[in-house]
Amino acid sequence: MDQTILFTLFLLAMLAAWLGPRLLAAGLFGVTLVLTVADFLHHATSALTLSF
Amino acid sequence: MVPQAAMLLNVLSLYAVALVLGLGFVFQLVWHELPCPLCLLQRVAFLGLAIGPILNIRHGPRPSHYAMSLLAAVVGMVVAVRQVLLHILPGDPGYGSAVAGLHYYTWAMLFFVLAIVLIALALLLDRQFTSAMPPRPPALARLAVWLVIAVAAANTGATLLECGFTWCPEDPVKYELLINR
Repeated sequence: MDQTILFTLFLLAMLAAWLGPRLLAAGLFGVTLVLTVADFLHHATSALTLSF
Repeated sequence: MVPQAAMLLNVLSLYAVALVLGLGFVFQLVWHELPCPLCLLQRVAFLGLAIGPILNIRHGPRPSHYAMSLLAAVVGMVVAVRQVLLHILPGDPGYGSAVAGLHYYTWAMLFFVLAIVLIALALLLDRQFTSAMPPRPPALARLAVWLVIAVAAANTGATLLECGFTWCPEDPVKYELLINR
């Protein structure tokens, strides 16, 4: 779910960049990038269980 | 000439992002290899990389647009390096299949480094920032934008199917929202 939200937000930022005001796109981009870093920190510190 | 060169670079970068994400998507569907959370984060960063070029094509080139792509590329590179380091020990088979001898995350790391270099080179073209409001983007540019948006939408849907409505699993083996897959 976490990554689905990030994909959705960047998708909205793209649509805003193309169809809407650039400030909205920049704002969405900034929020999403911060959330991406937060999600990375969450996954980077969790145990990695591999399937092989 | 320089503004046109910058425009061409931005359009080509969108096609490159669409190609990279599209290939990852094809490998995911053909080889049934579900992307892990760090793999998905690299795809997210590739999407972030595309927002700067879209803004450049639509609103005209600005250093701030390139800066956004630069930030996304750095975040993507950090995520990819983290994954490379997870599998760097001798004997570790890595995550997923290798393409031309390198795993996806290694390719991603190289692409992000290349993107950083190309953005720096694009920023050297000073005259692109002095031109007036850009004309209506050419058809190839509009196609590139909608192609990237379509790839982003496809990735969003696939990630929802894979992760469902909880945290994405560290080692995904099935699509959470699909039965028996």
